[in-house]
Amino acid sequence: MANRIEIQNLIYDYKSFDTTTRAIDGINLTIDSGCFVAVLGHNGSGKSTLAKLLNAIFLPTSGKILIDGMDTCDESKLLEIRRRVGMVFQNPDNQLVTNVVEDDVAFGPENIGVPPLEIRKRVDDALHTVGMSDYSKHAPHLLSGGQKQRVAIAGVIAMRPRYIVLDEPTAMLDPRGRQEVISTIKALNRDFGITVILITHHMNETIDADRLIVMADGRVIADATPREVFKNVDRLHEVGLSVPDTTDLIYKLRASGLDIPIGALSVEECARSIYDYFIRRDS
Amino acid sequence: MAPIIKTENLRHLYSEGTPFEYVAIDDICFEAEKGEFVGIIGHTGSGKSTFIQHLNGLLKPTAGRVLFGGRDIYESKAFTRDVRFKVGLVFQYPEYQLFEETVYQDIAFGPKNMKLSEEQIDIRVRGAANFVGLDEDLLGKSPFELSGGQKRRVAIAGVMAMQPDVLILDEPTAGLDPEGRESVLANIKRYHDAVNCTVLLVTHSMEEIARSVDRLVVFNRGRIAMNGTPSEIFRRGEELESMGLSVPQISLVARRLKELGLPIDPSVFTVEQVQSALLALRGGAADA
Amino acid sequence: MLKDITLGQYFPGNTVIHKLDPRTKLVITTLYIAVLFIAGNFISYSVVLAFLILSIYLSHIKLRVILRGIKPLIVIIIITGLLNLFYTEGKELVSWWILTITAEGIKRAVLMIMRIIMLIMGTFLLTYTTSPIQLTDGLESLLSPLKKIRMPIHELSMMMSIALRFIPTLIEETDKIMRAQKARGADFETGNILQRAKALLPLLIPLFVSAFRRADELAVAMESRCYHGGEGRTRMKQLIMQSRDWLTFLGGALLLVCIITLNVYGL
Repeated sequence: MANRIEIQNLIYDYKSFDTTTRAIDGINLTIDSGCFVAVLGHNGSGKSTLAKLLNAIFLPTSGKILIDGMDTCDESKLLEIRRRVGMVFQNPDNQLVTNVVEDDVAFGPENIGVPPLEIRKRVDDALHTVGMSDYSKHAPHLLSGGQKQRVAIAGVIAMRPRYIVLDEPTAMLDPRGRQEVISTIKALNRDFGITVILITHHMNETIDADRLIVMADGRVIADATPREVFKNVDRLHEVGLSVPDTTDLIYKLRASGLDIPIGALSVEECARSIYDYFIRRDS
Repeated sequence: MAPIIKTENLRHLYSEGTPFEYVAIDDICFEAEKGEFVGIIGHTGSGKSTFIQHLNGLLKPTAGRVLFGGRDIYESKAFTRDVRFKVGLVFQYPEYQLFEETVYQDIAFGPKNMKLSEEQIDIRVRGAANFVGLDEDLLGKSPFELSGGQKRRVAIAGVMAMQPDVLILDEPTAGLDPEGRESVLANIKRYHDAVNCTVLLVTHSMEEIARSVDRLVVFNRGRIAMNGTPSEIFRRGEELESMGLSVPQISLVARRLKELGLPIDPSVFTVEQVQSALLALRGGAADA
Repeated sequence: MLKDITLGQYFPGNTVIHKLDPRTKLVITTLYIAVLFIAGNFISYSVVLAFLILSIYLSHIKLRVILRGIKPLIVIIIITGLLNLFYTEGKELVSWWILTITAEGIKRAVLMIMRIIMLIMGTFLLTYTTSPIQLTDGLESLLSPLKKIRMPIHELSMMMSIALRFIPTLIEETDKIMRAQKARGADFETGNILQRAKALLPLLIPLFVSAFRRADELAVAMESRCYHGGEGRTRMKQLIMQSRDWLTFLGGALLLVCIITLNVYGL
C-alpha cells in the first residue's frame, strides 16, 4: 500500500445535547510521506479537530481517512495507526505521564509491547535526537516549556512513527522555547525523513514548510507552497488571517506603485528584492 | 510630576537561607508616570514576573522599597490592602481563575471585595465588560461556557472593574490566535486612552506592543538592561537577540537594507515606518 | 506553606536504597509500618529508629529534607500529642481545670508523636527514593495475584502514578490561583471558620475545573500514544530481584523478630 495519508470527503460534527456543530466540512487531501506540511488557521477553523481525526482520537462523521491504506475506523488497526501517526499537543504539562523524563519517553513503546532492551535503545536515541539526553533523569515539572515539548516529541519518535502531527506545539512557549521546538521539528523532517504536519497560528513557523494548507470554517481554502499562499494577501485578509510582515511590506510597497515581485518570505529575500528594485531604478 | 509608582533598589531572593537560594531581581529602580503605557519585556526567568508582583504587594521585597503615590506600600496594613486595589494585576492565563456562576458575578468579585455599593458595582461591571468588548447577553452566562478568548476578556474585565490607577497585565495575549491577540491589545489600548490610567504590559513578543507603548523596559537576568522609547530599544537589536528576545521581523529587514547600503534607519519597527521610509527614498531617487 | 508539601516528590540518586527493587521497598515499608504499631516501648522504638536512620543515611537524602515533609502535618501531630497527654488515665501528676496530666499520658504522647513522625519519615523515604513509575510497577507486580479475582490492579496503579505526577503541578497551580485571587482582593487569612471556608471557593472551583481539563487532555495524550490498559504492555525497566533485595528482606525479618521478642519479654 502507498505510504501516504488520504483524506476523502471528510466531515466531522461535534454533538452536544441539543446542538450539532460542523467542525470539518468536506475536506479532501493527500499528504505524501516525507514532506513538511504546515496547517494554518484560526481557532475554530477545524485544524485541531483534523489533527485528532488523523490519530483516530475522533472518528469521521462521514468520509474516510486512510493512513498508509488503513482506515481509521478499522478498530483492529487502531494501535498501528496511532503508532504511525504520533501526536504532540499544545500544553506541555498535560501530555507527560510520568515524573521522570526517560520513563515518559518509554511510555509509548511500552504500550505497543516493544522488548525492554529495544525500548532502552529507542529512548536513548530519541532523547539524543531532541537534544535532551542530559535531562533523562529529570522531573518534567522542573523543565522549561520548550524542553517539555521536546520530551513530548521524543516520546512520539520513540514509537518510530512515519507521521508526526503537532497541534500548536509552540502556542504556550516563549521565543526561545519556540525556536528550540521548531528547529527540532525541522530536523526530524530533514534528517530522519519523518512526515511533519505542523498545525499553528504563527505564520513565521510555516515559511519553511514544503506545503501550506490554510483552513477556515472547516474547509481548506488554500493549499500550495507558502510562497504561493502568501501571495494571496487579500484572500487571507478576508478570512481574518494576516501574512508575514515581510510579505505585508512588499504588498504595501506594490500598492504604492513600487514594482517589487511579491513572494519574498524570509528577511533576507525581502531585503534583497527591495534592494534590487532600488538598484534597478538607479541604473 | 511625581511618579505614581516607583521602586527603589528592589531586590528579591527566592528560598532565602536554603541551598536553592537565588536572586530573582536585584537593584530594580523603576518608575512610571500617571497615564504612561509601558511595555516590560524579558525572557522567561528574567525576573519580570517577580518584579510586577511586588508592585501590588503580593511579594514582599527582600530589600528596597515600593512607593505608590510617593508612599511606601508597607507604611500601614490598611494602605497595603488599599494598594491591592489601586494596582490591578492580571496574571498569565487569567481565564483559569474564573470561578463564579455567571460572567457578571465574576467581574464583580473585585469590586465586591472593595465593599462598593450594588449600584457602583453594576456600573463598573458593565463598564469593564464594554471595554473588553463583551456583549451584554454574555453577562448572565456561565464563564465556563465561553470560548478561550472570551474567558480571557472576562478575566481582564474583572481587574479593570476595580478601576485601578495602575493596570498591570502579564502576557495578556499568550496562547491566543492572531485575531484574539490583536483584539485584546486593542481593548487594553482603548481602556488606557479612555481612563488615562498607567498600564504596564509584560510580554516577550515586542512586535505586538511596540506600536502601543510610550516606553519599553527590558529585563535581563533580574536587572533592568534597557529603558527607553521603542526606537531607542530596537536600535540595539543585536543586544536584544543576545538576551534571547526576538526582534521584530521588520526591524531585521530594515537592518539588512542598511547593511546592503540603503539609507534606512534601523530603529524602525512597523511595516508602515519602513514603507514610508522607502517611499521617501524613491521620491528622493526620482528627483535626483 | 504550599511549597513545603513534598509528598510525591522523587529525588533521583544512585544509592543502594534507590537501586533496591521497588517491591522490596514496598514490602519493607509495610513491614516497617507494622513494626511501628507493634512496638510498645522506648527500647523497641529506638531499634526501629536506628533502622530508619540507617536507611536514611544509606539513601543520601538529607535528614532536613525529610523533616521538611513533616511541617504541613505539624498541627495534626501536636493535636494527637495533646489528646494523648491529657486523656490518658493513670497516675495523676498535674491537674488544672479539666486537664490532667498523668505519667502514662506523657509516655503515650511521646510514643504517639514518635510513631506518627517515624511513620511519615518512613513513607517519605520510600517516595523520595522510588520514582512513581517504579512504585507503580512494584505495586502492580505485588498485587498481580489479585488480578485473578478481577481486581483492576493495573488501572489502580496507573491512577496512583498519575496522581503522584500531578501533585507538584497542582500545587504550583494552587499557588498561582491564590495569588491571582488575592490580586482581586480575596482574603484567605481572616474571618471565622465559615467565612474562611467560603473564601476558599474562588480557589477550589478554578482548581477543580483545571484538574478536570488536565485529566481530559492527559487522557487524549495517553490514548494517542497507544495506551490501552495493561494488556500486552512491556516495561523498559524490568523488575529483577538482586542479592541486595534478599539481604534487605533478611534485615527486615530480623527487625520484626527483634521487636516481637522485645514485646514478649516486655522490655
